[in-house]
Amino acid sequence: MPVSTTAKYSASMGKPSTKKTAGASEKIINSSVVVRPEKLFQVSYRPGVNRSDLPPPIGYNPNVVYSSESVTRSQDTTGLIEKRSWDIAMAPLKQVPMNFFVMWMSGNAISLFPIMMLVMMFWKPVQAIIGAQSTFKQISGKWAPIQKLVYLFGNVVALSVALYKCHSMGLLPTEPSDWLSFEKPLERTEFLAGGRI
Amino acid sequence: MDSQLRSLLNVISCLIVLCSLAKVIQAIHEDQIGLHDWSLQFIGRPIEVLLSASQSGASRSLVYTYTEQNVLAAIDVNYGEIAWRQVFENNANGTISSAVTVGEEICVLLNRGRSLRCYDSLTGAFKWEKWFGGKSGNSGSCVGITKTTESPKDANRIVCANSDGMYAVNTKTKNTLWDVRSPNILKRYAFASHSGELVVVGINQDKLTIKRLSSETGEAKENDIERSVSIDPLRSECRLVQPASQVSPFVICYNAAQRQLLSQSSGESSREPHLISVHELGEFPVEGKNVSLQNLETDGLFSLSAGGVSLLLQIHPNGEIKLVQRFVGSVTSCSGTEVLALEVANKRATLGTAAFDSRGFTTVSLTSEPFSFPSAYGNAQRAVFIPRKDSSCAKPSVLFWSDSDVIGYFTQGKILWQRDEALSTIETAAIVDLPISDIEALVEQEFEEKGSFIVRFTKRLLSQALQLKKFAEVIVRRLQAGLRTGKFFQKDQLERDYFNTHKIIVGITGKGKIVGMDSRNGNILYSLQAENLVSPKDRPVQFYLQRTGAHAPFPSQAVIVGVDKKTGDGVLFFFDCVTGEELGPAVRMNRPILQSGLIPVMTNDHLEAIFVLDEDLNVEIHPALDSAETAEFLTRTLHIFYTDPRTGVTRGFRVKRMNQGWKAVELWNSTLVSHGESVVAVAPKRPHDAVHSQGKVLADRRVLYKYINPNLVAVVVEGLDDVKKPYLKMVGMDGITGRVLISQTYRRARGPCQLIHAENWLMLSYWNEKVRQSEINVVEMYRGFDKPNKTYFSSLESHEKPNISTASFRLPGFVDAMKDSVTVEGITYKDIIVALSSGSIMRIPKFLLDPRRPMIPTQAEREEGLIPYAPELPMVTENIINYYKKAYRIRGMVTEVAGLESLSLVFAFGLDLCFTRVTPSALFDVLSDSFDYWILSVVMLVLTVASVIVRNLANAKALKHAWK
Repeated sequence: MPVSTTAKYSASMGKPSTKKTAGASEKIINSSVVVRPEKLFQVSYRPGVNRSDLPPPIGYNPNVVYSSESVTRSQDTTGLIEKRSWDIAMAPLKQVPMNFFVMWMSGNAISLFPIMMLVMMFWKPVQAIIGAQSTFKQISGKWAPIQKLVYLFGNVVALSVALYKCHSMGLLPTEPSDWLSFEKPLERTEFLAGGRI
Repeated sequence: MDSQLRSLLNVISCLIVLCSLAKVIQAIHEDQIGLHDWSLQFIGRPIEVLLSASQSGASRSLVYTYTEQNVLAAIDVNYGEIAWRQVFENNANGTISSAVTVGEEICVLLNRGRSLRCYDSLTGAFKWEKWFGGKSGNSGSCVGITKTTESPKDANRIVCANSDGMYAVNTKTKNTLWDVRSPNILKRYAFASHSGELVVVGINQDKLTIKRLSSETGEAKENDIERSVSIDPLRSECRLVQPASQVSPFVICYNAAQRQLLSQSSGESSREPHLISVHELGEFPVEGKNVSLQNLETDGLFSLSAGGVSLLLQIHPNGEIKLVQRFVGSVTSCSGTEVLALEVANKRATLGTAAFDSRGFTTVSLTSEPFSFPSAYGNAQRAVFIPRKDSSCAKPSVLFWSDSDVIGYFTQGKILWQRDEALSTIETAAIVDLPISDIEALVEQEFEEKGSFIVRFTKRLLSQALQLKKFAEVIVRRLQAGLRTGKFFQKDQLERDYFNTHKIIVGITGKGKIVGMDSRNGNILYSLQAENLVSPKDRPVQFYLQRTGAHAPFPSQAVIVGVDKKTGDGVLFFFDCVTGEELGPAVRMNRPILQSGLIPVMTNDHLEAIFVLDEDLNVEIHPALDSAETAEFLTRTLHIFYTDPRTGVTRGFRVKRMNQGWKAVELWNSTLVSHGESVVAVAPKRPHDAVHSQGKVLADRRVLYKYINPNLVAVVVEGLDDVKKPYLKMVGMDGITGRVLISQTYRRARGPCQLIHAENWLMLSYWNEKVRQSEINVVEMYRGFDKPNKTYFSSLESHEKPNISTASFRLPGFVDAMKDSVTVEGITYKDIIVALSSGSIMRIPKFLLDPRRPMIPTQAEREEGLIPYAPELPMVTENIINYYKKAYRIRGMVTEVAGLESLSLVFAFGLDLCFTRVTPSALFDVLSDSFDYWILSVVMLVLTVASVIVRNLANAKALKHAWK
């Protein structure tokens, strides 16, 4: 009864009027469980008829397993992982020229915009270093240790670029003038008193 | 119709908005005047009191006086307030030789008798001036003659006589009616006799000339009377006294040089002058100054008074002078037949009248109950009877003034008001901290770290209990006072406030009078007199604060160093500058003193010591420091220097212990003046000069280190060069070694000079003859870019010379006094407070007076914040710190720190007093006045409530959403 089966199929699928079924079908589609199609199409009209006796529907070969995708993935997965790991590891370094450009754009004046830029420039690598563990989970392969090192190095470079920006903006206390207010006045060893008479 | 009405309404509403804005703008500063500042105006010590010629229609009863400070003033006798005043120049040109009231005018003779200036007697408005011209004479005298007839020819006129001649001026038309030129007389007096004729007395060395003229035409009536008598024109005083109605008046002169009285008839030329020595008449003080001769207008009575003693004298028709009575006090005439005497004895004064009849001078009847005349007043100098509706000889109204320059008004049996004019003669002043309140003192004790843990803990508990008790006491006291006076929120007097801005101002006059004033309002808290103490010649009394009020059980202690009035020896007077009590007897030295100063050593009872160097180079230390340790410290560190302006020699000493005392050992001396030069200013560094920053940061972030030498002394010398042009020379030398560190010369510049020495700069104000303007020159000293490699500064080890940068700035005005603002830590920028002779006190930010200001600033200099150089200092009206309340003849200023870093208190003293505060870097450490606490708290509250409500609402909404 292929006709009736399709009718049932269409009846069960094409019934969006009630909310519940729509929700259920959504659930089915959303969950990535591999649903075997025979289950969907399994309809019995008569109790006496054995299901397996029925011929499969047209175009359905029960011997073929629906896993061609996973098969292809497993084929060139190592190359991709390596590539992706390198991408992750190199990302901070790739950011450096951009940082330089932003730095040049924002100028050395101490105002809100450059300060915000500076804070971002500091915050990003610091955040990256703090969250390095989770990033490292994504890195695997034979180059992993070097990639991790490169990743850390990139962040350190970003930090030092930010520091350099700080320096060029004059925010680092590197000159004696920055410590001037801590300098004590010279103690006097002699006392003088007097004036005109 | 409707649209027209609407547009009209629009216009009106716009106008209303504009008007309200205008009001707002007007009130930006005006409401703050007098909030933190006050000023007091004075007139000085009166020379003479004049009564108004006509006061018809005047709503106020004014008396006029001209004073030793060259001020002409009208005083309202009902309140003792100055109705108006005119302040004249502070030199011989401004000295008032004579003043007269005629009609509605009061006229003064100025410019050494060469110009007559008239003012409206009611308002003080200037009316006209007459320039007589002539050479610069000594002085002159005027007499006002009121018209007697209504004829148009007769008019109110003033007749003045100066050393060049006699002049009559019509006060209405301002025309000269007549003038008689007869020079070669040193001093002239003009009098009008009862008969209406003019008597002019001319005095030359050893010659007395009496002229009689008609006041209408100036024609001589009779031949002049000339007598050769030994008389000093500059130290004599003459009056015209009429012994009896039919007798021609007598000229009576007091010759201060010989202490003689001379009488000469102005009518009978044949009569020889009578001469009588004052000591033959009665006991009279020897003091030559302030002798006054008064005509009492009654039966030939006149009085001679000085030093609080008056001789009531009478001239007989035959020219003989006799003593009637001697008073300790003063005498004045009150009616045609009676005189009024103010007598002072045992701090009480009595007023009595004496009648004079045919039998002679009789009963002195008391007209008033004795009233209190405090010893701080000193002797009664003069008393003037004020004729008023409600006063008579029996119930007199008397204006008096005393030795210590107190002007008082006695009426209706009591002193109605008094003015302490001594405040206009303050020479030295200081702003002194008040003691901390009892509770705060306890808090301070609480945290003293002494003893073990348990001891400290119990101490803490105890002190907190005590604090609680004290607090309760304060509350009770306040409640009691509140119930009594009705004011519950009155602050306790004489207690430090939170930001330590409430202080005591101590002012010391040249006569040794010490006045303590409340810095909040200028009220006099105490006034005491240091007996026989006066300021040394050419310099003010020295004041040293030895202990502040912060050391609870001990009183605050200050000392003033002056000289004895009679002997000229040094006197040290100790007093508590918070309460005004004398602390122990004054220390009288047996020698004149050269120098005094504070020693950086404190005794166990928190008393800072002072030293006094006398002429024999003995050093006396008060209180005595005997411990070997201090002796060793002083010998090692204490150095003394002095500059003698007469010789121009500066000498430096160190101290050495000898036997029981100390001796000064000369280390160096240097003569900074050559022929014709004189020292005009000496400025050592302030003992506690807080400098926060040790250098200046340049644009390239290098540090230009300041040259801060605490022992630097600046000396300014004035002289004339080869072409008779004046110049000034400023020398900066090390006071320990005498080494000259800097030297500057100012061509075509002359004094008066004001010199400030602070931080690493010197500031000198002078008059530039070339541009005819006042200038301020700034010299800044820097040591360079190298960091000092030591942590101490020793003049003996330091061989560096400072790098100097200097610039001059022009000031639109004449500088009377100049001072820099001070703050606790020296973090705040400095302001230069300049008192101008125009009466304004102006603050000039130090960054304007920066010698590093470039002509054309480079990028780096602009980054550093240097503004381009401009020689003119702007006169910004917002920077005038006494607004429109002019303070004239400022002699000096004191600046003092407050508890806030941003605040500096300023007290200016001179003829007027002015107290205010400056904030050179604005009030950076407190919230501004406009900060709205109400809005802030309301907003906070609303936000909190709103967030609570919104949270609940949000919860409810989330719940509802979940149920869907």
